[in-house]
Amino acid sequence: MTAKVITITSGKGGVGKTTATANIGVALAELGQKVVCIDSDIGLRNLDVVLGLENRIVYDLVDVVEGRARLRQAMIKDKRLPELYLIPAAQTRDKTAISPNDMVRLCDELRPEMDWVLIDSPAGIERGFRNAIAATDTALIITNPEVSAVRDADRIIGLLEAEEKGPGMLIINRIKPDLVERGDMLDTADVLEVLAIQLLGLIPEDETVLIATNRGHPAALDPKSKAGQAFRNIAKRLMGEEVPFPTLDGNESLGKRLARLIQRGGAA
Amino acid sequence: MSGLIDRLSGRGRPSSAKTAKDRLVVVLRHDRSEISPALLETLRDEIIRVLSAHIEVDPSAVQVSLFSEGREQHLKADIPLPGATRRKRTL
Repeated sequence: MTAKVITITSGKGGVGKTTATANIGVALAELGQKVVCIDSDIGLRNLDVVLGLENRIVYDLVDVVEGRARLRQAMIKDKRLPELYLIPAAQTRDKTAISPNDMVRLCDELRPEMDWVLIDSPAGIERGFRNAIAATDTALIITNPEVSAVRDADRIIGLLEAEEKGPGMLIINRIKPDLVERGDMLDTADVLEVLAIQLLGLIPEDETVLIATNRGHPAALDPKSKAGQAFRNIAKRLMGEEVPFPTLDGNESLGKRLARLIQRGGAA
Repeated sequence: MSGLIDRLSGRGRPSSAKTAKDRLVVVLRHDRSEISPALLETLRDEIIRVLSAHIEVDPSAVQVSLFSEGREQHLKADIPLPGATRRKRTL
């Protein structure tokens, strides 16, 4: 087994990195994969609460790096899935507690044991980001269809390319189809044209994500959640399956829309 | 709804999404190339100065701009040569 190391990053904060890491991790584990999620946001730990594993933390990433715990001791097993683990960030330290080399060593240790190592990157472009991308094979860039998030995503893509880790693949999160339809939100085509990288996933704005986070029960575990489905699609695409992109932005041609109406038997 | 009708008929103000995209395209050109609008203006003036020492150029017609092809950035200088058209005409 040789795990793929994937970093989930964005530049801008609050676009959905941690939610995406948790849900892609869950969705890959649902497909029978061995997955470890690493929270590299030292000092601002959150992946534990999104995954609902906050009460089980004994050791963290910094404990492993500084030799107080073995890697296996810091890996919290998610009991809902066969092979999903979390390595939490330290909450009382800062980004300088680990180095890019530490991350490379840690991931090298994990590679033979796992199918996927998912690293949740902190916001920003400083040390924390450098740590998060040091060992990565592929970066997933998360953005929202919004000017500042897309601009920051572009900056991140540029930095990834400069580190020869780029260009990565794009996930557009929190798409609001009604706003796109009335011309008040960038559509998928706009964002793709501007950023010019490969698309991996489209996630609709979906209140089930907030509810899922309230409960510590990621949306990808909920078969009825639309966002959960979008994350499951991302997991399948990462596994090499071709999954068509659903239209979320009301930007389909009139012909397609008509065809769908006809299919529904005119019920709409 | 009226916004949608305006958009479909091509009337009225452009949609805010269109404005967002146009602004992004411009700001990313400058971000990626690290050439600010002010630096672009300086480059334009310098190009005119250098060329004017050797050939006849109309400074008001010279355009220096940035454009992208995928993620690749290009600096483009468009310098119409007034002398060339005149020579063609007199031939």
